Amino acid sequence: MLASDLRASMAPLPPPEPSRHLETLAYLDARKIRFELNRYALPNGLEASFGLIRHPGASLAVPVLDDGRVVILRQYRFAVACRLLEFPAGTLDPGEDPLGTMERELQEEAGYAASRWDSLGAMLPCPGYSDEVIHLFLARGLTRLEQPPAGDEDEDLEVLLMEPAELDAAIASGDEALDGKSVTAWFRARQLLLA
Amino acid sequence: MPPSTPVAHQHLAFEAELSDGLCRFVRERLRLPMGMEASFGWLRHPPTVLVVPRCADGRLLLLRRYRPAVGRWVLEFPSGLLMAEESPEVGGARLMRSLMGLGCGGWRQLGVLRPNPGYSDEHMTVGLLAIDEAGEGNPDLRDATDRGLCQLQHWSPQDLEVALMAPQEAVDGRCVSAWVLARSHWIL
Repeated sequence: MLASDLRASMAPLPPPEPSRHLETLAYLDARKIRFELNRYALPNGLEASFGLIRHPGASLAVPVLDDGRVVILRQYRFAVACRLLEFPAGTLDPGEDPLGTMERELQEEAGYAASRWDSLGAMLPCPGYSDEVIHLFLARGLTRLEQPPAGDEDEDLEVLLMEPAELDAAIASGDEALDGKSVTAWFRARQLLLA
Repeated sequence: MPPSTPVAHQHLAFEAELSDGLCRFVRERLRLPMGMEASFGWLRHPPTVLVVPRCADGRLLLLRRYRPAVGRWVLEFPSGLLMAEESPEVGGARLMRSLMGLGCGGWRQLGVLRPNPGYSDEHMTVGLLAIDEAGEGNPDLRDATDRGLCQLQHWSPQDLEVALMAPQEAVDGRCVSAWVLARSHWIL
């Protein structure tokens, strides 16, 4: 599906049922995210205070070459102090739609442009303590860019090509600490690719 | 392909922190392995365990749980914090007793998950736990704030597979990852 057709056909998630926000007790900002201590009136009538991450949302793509191999990154993550296998992904910039974010991130992080896009829905990486929603895509019709645009200066990553069976084996092996969003996206992409 | 090799950043300075009692959000100045220096914020989260509970009849136990952070009813496997020095096996069994009032059998570790490595250091151990007695749980043992916000549900593996694929379902990434691990071990 062309990006323009996909934008027109993407079905949004059912609307949330937010708790009633009573007050923000404290917060701390860090780059693109904010940690808030809030007090809420919950749907069961009780009141509770807890912390959560406010996040602008993100997009992730499973890029698949014409020969079936997937484009994946080995990326350093300071929060867990190690490199993880992850699909290209990025935070939504202000005013940017999820597919626009993904088109940009695929070029910046992986060095590819895609001509065919499918939606894989949305996921919640950590609904217990983050409001982040990640929009998932399958990207095909890939073209390697001769001069990819520059990405974020803090990105420390290596672009890899893997056979699907090799990725399945890496997930099942227990040798890799698994990135939750990438496993979720691969689960949905695999079903679509096999259909 | 060989697994990732260990590497770490260098801590330069502490800047700020905010805690909610369970987790600490910290902002620190770091030098990354590539040499760049900047301020980064992330959540220091205690280790957790996620349980894939399987009844004797093959059905799985899941929770449909209201999550205030996203304002949605989320389908998820039971999960919780590990206590100090507690193994995932012991913690998983404790979780199932306290959350659902159910007895437990054998544990099989499926893997380790980083649910959100972009801004949380959470280390989640995922395992399969055999449930000795099917039942509706013990709601008296649930945390008070969970009353009316958490429903125990039985799912067949086939129905769960369909639900986790549905685009209308805002799926919990931890739940899908655990499901993928369980399937990859050919134990369902």
